[in-house]
Amino acid sequence: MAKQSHELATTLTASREADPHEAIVDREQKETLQEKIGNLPSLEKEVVLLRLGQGLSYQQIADVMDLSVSHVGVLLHQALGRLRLAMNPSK
Amino acid sequence: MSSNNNAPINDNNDNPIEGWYLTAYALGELDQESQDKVEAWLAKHPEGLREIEAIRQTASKVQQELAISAQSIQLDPTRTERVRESIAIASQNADARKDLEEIKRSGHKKVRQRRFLMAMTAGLAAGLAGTAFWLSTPNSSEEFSLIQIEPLNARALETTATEWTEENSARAQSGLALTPKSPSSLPEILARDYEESKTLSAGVDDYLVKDSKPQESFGKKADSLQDNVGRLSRSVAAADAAQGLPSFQTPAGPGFGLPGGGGGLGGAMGGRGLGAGGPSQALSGGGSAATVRNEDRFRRETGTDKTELEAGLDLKQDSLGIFPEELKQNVPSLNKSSKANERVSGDRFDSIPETPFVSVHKEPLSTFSIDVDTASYSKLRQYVLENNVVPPPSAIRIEEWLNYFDYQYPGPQGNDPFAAHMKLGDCPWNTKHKIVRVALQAKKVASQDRPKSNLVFLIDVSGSMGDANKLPLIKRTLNVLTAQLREQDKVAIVVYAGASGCVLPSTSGAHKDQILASINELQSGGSTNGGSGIELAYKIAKENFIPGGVNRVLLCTDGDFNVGVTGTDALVSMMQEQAKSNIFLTCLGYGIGNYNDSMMEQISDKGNGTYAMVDSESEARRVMTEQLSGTLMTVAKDVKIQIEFNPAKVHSYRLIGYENRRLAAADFNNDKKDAGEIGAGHRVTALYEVVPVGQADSIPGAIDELRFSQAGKPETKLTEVESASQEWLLLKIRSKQPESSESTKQEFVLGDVASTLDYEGQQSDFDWALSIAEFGLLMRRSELAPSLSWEKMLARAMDSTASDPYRQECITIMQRARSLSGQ
Repeated sequence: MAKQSHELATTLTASREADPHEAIVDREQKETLQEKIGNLPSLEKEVVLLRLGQGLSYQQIADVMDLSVSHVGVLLHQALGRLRLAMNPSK
Repeated sequence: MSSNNNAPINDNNDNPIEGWYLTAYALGELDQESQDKVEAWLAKHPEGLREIEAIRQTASKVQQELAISAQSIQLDPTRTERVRESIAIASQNADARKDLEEIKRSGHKKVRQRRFLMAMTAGLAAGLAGTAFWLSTPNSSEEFSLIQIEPLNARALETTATEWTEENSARAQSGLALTPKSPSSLPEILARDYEESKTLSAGVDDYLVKDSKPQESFGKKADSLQDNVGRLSRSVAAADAAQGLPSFQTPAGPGFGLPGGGGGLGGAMGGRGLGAGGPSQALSGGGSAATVRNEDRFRRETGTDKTELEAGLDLKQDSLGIFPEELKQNVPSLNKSSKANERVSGDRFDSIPETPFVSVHKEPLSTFSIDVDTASYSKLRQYVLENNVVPPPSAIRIEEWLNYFDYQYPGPQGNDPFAAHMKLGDCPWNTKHKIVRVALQAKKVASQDRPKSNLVFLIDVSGSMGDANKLPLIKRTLNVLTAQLREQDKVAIVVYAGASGCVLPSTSGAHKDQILASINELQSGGSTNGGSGIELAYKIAKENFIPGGVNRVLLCTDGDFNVGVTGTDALVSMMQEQAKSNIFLTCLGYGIGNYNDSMMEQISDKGNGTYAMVDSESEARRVMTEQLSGTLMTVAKDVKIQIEFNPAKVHSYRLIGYENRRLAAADFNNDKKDAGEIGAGHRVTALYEVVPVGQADSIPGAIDELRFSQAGKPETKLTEVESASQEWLLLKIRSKQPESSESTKQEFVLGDVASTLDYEGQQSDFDWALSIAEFGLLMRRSELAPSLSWEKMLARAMDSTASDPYRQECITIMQRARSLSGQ
């Protein structure tokens, strides 16, 4: 079910793109990004999901994960650094 | 200049900050002190801005990835469980916790079927309201949480909500209710819910066509349904908690009782729109509608921005294909990419709440001060064309966008300071509504005819003004102006930084060399004490006062005063004091990134001033040449507009923009109440969205009193005058001559005739204003305009550019903004 809906979502995303080549690139990038998020170290991944997926504030994440706010900040900073590298491997 | 008083950046050669501060800064997570620190660092390390922009873009992409497309990201199972439980605990929801335990004991983990939760904001929805979650349980073979969020057209779905509620009510009464006592029934029922939801959704377009009135039936049933709903929503919450989803039991609240809020997304929405609300908003679901109405409160309580939560709500990503096309077309646009921008820049903006519709019976008078400022538009251009981001909604003042452009409104006859032109037309984003355009055109004065001028430039030369788009641009602005000066004009230049000083005493326009030399010697350095500079500038202006002439201080700054009198309030009262001396003020804002927009607007507002943003040399040229008369010469001050709507024609109305310019009705006739000034040749355009009598049900969202006042009260009796009249409204304008303290009043009536005066190009003027307003509403993500359309807006805009280069430039901005918004 979930897999199926994911595929559908991807197809829909792709169908909105004007250029099929772009669509493929786009999809590849998306998959990379998704994979990359999935491959983050577990603490970083959680922070990313909570901050950018769930919209919690640093403070709320710190409370939920029992970390200090600065630790949350560092984790997210590192995670975004990794993801950025993944998105722009050349840079 | 961005430093605080304790740590002037110029005294420290380097003040390293920790790397993660940049990310936190980009995400708007720093407290004021740390933010100041970062900004101080950035002032010395401008390359950091690029870094922050890169972080912001990455975050935005990740956010979109997480929110929009389906995702299956594996979390460490033990950690996942822990985080989920933590969220439940953080909710401080005793019931949810209790239920969680109970459900755990009874083996909820057998739940395999993903649930489909739809939240509908019955009747009270403000435009979008829908959420769907699919999720599997932690121990299922496909171990992931899949969260998918779908916004739906609220008006269409409220019907579904009603039906659904009835169904569940029946179910509840027949003993199938989802109470915490029977958790074992959850799986089947949740599975069934999912199937039902699909069916119901598929039927939504029928309701779109029928235009039924679900709100009413809804309201009636609300009371009797409450108990069941309460029980149901509690168990839904329990299920949510058990499955790692937050529970939502505070329907009247913002819909985010919990930090984990269902993907934080407007969301969660008390499972299928069921939150036991009070009768007046029963079943509002605590979803988007509540979020909208409680946005400010929500911000206060959670420190989270609503826009944060809106990101990723995208019906167009309807991966299951269950929502009809019409619905997707009707989804109010959400500015996904701008979401991350909301907090990234160091620019400070006051938040601007959107004005709701007001019933004419409740408030027949609408009163506001005119505003000829244009800064918000220049700001938009800078954001979009130079920085490739959309501005945060709080930086968008639609009235300033409207007033940025030239319109061909005919000027006044005789000695009147201005003429008024009204026009009635259809509302593009709500076919049942009308738009009333009110336009003022001030007397035009050719620049050679303007009176003698006594100008004092007050220039911020503090450290942060060194950027290319600040002091160097100010110099170019002044060079342009100097070229325009005549022998009888006088110019002085005062600079301020740590200390303030006069670098050019009041000098005749005959000595252009001397003026230019002083301008070109200006250098930046030091921290900012705007306060004492303002005093000195006004002192020089007073000493050189020209009776009957133009006496004006022109403040050039990025607005960030940080030494001396720094509080906005203190500066504002200082300006108010100075304004009594008949010396006017022009605020010219420079720079982006550390720019105190709200202070600039307030001091120009209080200081008999106008406020423009200079973002480029061409804009400097525009302000200082084409619009010089208007920039310098005030033809009327304290200009107030009051409109009286005719209740026989108008059910309710709302003023688009001018949120910060609203006045109380009684202020209109109070000459002591300060209002905006209008310069020679200036134009003011204001748009009202008007709901004609009989079209009340087309108002998105709701006006609270409507439901009861219509059902409960007898129709208010109209007077003979009102009902006999074919007039829509009466426009009253009060203004004072520049040096007078008593106002005069002018009155104009808008009848069924479309316009008070025909002139060539009036249709394109009207269409252009409509397009700008729609553009603004799109960018502000208005909740009150259900069918905003980038496409139609752009088509109309392109048809009405009338070869005006500024309008043509705006088309580019619109197109760029559209793609930046992911539309």
